Amino acid sequence: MGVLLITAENCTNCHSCELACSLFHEEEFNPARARVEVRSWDRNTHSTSMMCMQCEEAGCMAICPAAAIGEDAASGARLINAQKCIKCQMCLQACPFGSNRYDARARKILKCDLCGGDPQCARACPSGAIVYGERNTVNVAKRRLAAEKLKVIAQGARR
Amino acid sequence: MFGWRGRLLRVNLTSGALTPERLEQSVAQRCLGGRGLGLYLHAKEAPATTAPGSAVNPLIFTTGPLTGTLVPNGGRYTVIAKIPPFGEMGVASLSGNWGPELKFAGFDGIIVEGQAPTPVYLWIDNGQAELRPAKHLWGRPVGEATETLLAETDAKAVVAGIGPAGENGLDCALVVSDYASAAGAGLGAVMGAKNLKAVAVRGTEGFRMASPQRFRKLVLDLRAQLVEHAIAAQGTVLHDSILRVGSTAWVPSSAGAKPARPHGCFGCATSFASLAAQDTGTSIALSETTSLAESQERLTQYRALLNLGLDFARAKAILQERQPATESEAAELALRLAYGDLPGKPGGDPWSGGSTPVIDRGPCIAGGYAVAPELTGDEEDQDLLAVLDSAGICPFLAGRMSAETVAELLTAATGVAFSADDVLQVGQRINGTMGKKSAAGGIG
Repeated sequence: MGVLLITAENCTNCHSCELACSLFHEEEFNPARARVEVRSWDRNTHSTSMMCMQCEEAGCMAICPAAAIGEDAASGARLINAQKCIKCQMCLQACPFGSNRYDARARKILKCDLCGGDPQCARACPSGAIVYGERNTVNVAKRRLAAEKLKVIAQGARR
Repeated sequence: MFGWRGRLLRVNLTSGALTPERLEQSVAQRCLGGRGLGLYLHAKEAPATTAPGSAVNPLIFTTGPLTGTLVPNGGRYTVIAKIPPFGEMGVASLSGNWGPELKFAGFDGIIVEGQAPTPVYLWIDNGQAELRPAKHLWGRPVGEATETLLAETDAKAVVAGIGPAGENGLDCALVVSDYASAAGAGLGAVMGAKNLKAVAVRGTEGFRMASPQRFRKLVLDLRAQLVEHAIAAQGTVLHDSILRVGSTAWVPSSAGAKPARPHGCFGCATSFASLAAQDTGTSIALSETTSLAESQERLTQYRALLNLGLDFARAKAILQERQPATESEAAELALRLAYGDLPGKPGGDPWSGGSTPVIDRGPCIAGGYAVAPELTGDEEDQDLLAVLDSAGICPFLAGRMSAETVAELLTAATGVAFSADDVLQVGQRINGTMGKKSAAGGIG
């Protein structure tokens, strides 16, 4: 099972993830129809990408009145069954990250599906802000970094 | 049309008429976009003896067929007009979200003609355009004006405009977009003379590639290369703002490393690239030996001058001559300069005299250095550079992207079969149009 690891301090506000996403899913370049969105603040000096986190206890799944959201066993992604979806947009309401979007042009919900196990946003990200990896190992680098900081305390305690 | 949107917007500021026009396929194929298309349109539109401040001097914004795509560093657009003080052709290419947003809104470029009787701004929302009064923005710095514009139009709009320096007709006034990317000394003054404060754009339309699968594979491979091996550029630093590149090399990146640059322009895939001065006595931001704090300090200074619409290097030269004792005194001088209260040219102009190359591109927004990738002075290199600028790719990739690669990208994007020779011929023609002498573009 994979997970998308977001490292906000590595995000350079380049929007490559949005382009890769809309090219893969919609065959066009259009950030407005991507399943990932880059948010920036402080006059664009800081930014991060936001997308569906594929929650284990997914609110969207629980609330969907048409039972249209299921799990892809291979990738672990929560997938919308377009045939079943009644476009009530309750999943937009339920998502704690505000992740899903409604595409008025195609009249469908845009939700990250992990591109069938090869997320294009992670492939296109040039700075390591979006990395796709195994749930249990993908964040080892972050853990190591945090441990480095704690090392100082550990050494101090011994003295 | 694939790659291109096939539409230009003509804006007549004198009459207020806003007219969409077709971009002919034959013209697009011959000029690509950006620099090539801009020069073509300017030559067609303007009388030969156009004075920079006159209403008949068209101000042209152009994107390329690869602008706004997933191609590495594909956020490029170009601004073109005759610039003060001598009426030379001013060509400035810059990156950022503005060019891509214009394409998402349905246009390849904008031709601005005439002169508005009172300050206005142009608002483009998905193919619809409107001129709105900008009296309340006149005199405001770029950041403040941008924030007001976003509140008045769309929070997700992108703004390119001028600061007080442009309004006051300074030779060192730039066009600034997304707060931090800027180019074209003198072009800001042209925009000011037209009473055009800014162009705000919002687009959600999207556009397609002729061969989407082929294009996706090409650009993802190129991106993987740029991440695995970062570009290390070495060169001579001029006026603390231009890096004249002597050599570039590929440096293997270490896995899990932090990007060297905290910011990138739209599509920037060179976040691990480093710049270094050959002369080790010169310190340079964005090099491996410079701390993040030092780079940030420089960036803060860069953004402060840009906020007033001033060219970073030129404004610094002018201010340094006055030898401000404190930082607040320097800030005060910068304000006076932007509001037209100081002479706009440094004495003994360091920009003429042959030693300074013509820089017709905006600096890297991560550190304020304009990277001039004149590697060998080889004509083929120059031609390819003109093609990158016209196609919509940041010229930082020049020397690291072959004519074959550019041809493959253009073919997959547009569906027009380009060979490497075709690509170089387009470049040759663009450079020929400009002529060696009139190549004096905006320094930005």
